[in-house]
Amino acid sequence: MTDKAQTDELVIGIDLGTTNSLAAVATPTGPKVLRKQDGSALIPSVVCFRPDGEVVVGQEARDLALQYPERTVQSIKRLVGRSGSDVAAELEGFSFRVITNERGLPRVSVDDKEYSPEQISARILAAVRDVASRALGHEIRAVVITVPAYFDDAQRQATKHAAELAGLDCRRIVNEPTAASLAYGIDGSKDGTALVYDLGGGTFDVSVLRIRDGVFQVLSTSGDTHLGGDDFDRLLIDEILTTIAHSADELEGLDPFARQAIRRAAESLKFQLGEADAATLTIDLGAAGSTEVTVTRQRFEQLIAPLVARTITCCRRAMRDAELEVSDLDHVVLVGGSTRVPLVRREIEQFAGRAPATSVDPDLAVGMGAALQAGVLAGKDSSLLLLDVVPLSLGLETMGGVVSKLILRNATIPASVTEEFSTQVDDQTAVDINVYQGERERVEDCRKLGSFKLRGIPPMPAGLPRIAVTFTIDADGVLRVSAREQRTGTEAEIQIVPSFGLTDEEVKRMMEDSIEHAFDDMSARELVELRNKAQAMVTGTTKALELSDLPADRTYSIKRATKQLAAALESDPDDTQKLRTLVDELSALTAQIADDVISSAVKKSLSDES
Amino acid sequence: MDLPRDELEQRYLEASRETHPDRAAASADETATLRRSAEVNDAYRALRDPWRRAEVIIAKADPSALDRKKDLCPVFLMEAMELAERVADAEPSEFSKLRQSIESRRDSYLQRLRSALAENRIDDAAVLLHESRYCRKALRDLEEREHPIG
Repeated sequence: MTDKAQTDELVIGIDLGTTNSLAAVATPTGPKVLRKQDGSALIPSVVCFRPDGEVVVGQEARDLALQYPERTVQSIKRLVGRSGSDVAAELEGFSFRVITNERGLPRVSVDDKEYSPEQISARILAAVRDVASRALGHEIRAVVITVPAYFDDAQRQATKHAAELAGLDCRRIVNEPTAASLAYGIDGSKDGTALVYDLGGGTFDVSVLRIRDGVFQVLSTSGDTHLGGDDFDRLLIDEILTTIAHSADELEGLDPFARQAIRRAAESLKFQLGEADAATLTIDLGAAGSTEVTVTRQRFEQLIAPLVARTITCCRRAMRDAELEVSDLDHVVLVGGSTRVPLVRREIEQFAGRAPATSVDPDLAVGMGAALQAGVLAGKDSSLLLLDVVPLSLGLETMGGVVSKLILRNATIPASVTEEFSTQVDDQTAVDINVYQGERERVEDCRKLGSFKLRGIPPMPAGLPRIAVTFTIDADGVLRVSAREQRTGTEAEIQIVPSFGLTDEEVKRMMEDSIEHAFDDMSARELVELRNKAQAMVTGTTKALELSDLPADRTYSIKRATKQLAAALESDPDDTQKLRTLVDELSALTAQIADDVISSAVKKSLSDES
Repeated sequence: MDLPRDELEQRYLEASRETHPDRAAASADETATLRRSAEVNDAYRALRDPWRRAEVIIAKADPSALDRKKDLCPVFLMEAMELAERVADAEPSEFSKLRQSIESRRDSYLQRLRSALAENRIDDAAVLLHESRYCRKALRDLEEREHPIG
């Protein structure tokens, strides 16, 4: 570690995906993906609550999904910042239990405990952070996190809460397609207009950008936060189910294990169909026996065609909003694992009239772009500038349930608008303002972000107070509101009641919980490690003593300490204190004579062989 | 009224390099940074839009002109209402023809607005700007019918 690296602030980029997550860091030679020791970069966005109370994240959790389908949480990003009714349709595909709490928000339920989607995401973020810390040999506190460009305010806010719960300082929320364009266009040779098509596990985004002299200016964005590879999987799952089960009863009868096995099979079929014209798999359904399933690529494409068509509609809209023709495009960039599906490639190629660029790895581009932006925020790179837009219009409820738009979609952020409000009756001291996000005219067709209550308005005749309320969408795409009474100049108090996600109270409580549990988790992990170490020492020492021909007086105390440790492992496996004392004792004793033991063991083994 | 697009872009990017929160991240007052950056973005949006540019020029030349010329002649209003109805009732097969006709009407307004401003006929410009709203609204409604968002 050089001096410079120690004094400079370290900010990493995290791609928090529906299926996989990853971390990257900006280096003088370009963005570098941070890998685990085994070389893997993608960390499955999966959290498993093991029956023994341990919580595991990533590949290990994914491996346990078959064993503990009800305890393994996947695709949590689809629930983040949503309401229970928003996600009702998706829950069918989940093998874990999701309930709706008293505020109508979804909660993951495992054993007797409930977890908010933010808490699950926080686990994933913490795991990604740990991988990054180990790879860099440096503690990490500050991050840039990517979200789908089409994420609304509630989903962005929820992502920031997740970071907070993981003890991370989220310096910026960056839109995924924008991040990908950074990774793609950073070398300066790609100036021009680019369309970034980002089809991930659960979300679809398309952004149109102009890249010039290091400025990445988003002209428009469109998308669907509920369209991705998961939906392809679900169609395949339905296809498999109709093939193997012939009645509703049979479908009902499938246990979580069988469902999880089918989900895995669907994923595997999808991958195989990327190469082959047909794929066949044998699925082990546990109690229900095993079954063989064949799907042709033609059938698969028939199933997903309507979904792919929806993405192309979004592309058209983005081009219209950018006031560009397809012929104006200089680059088409594909991002996200689901762009490997051949039909997706064919359709986008047909739409754009050109072959998409393949110079960036669709799985890594977003994370690498996030790292570049993290470098900018850490002050390491001043040549880059991202100018992003708000994906959805922001408006207020007016008379008759109509939404009057304040900030139009695709406005460059930060964006801000000031509106004046007044009172309806004499001496009214509070005014409610309902804020909506969406393109439709009526409140019921838009998404309510929350209610803002203006308090502390000085008592005056109706219509006389003039309260200027400023709505600002910050560089994260998150709404901020401030208010001032114009006549008296008093700052009006604003109470925010979010429609979705966590209240400030909840965040605080969860923070406290997570700190408490962090200690639980840590001591649990420590104990497991200690036990493993003790067991290894007992086995190792016994073996070494067998091999050595040291005089009995020298080995007596070691033998005794080994026996004590072995006995303690049997009788008091949870006594951290006792185990640690005995382990320390034994290591001290063996350290003294380790050399002797080894040399005598070597001598013995040599003489045995001769 | 005439603004070279390239120069506007250039100046906007320069301003953004200074004011965007990513650049000013280290500076102390976050709220002020945010406000300033939002102002730059808003100004750029306004300047890029010829109608808003015209509105600002008229308001600067004669602050009361837009208000004074608000009441449009009844014949024009009838025409405008008919146009709105045609958009609402149009069959999908008629969309593209209707669009072309409204667009050419809009372009003619913009041209007349430019000449009025060039010749400093502020009252005429104010009337033209008010009148143009009807066909701009009709275009937005047509767009919504052609490509419903939802």
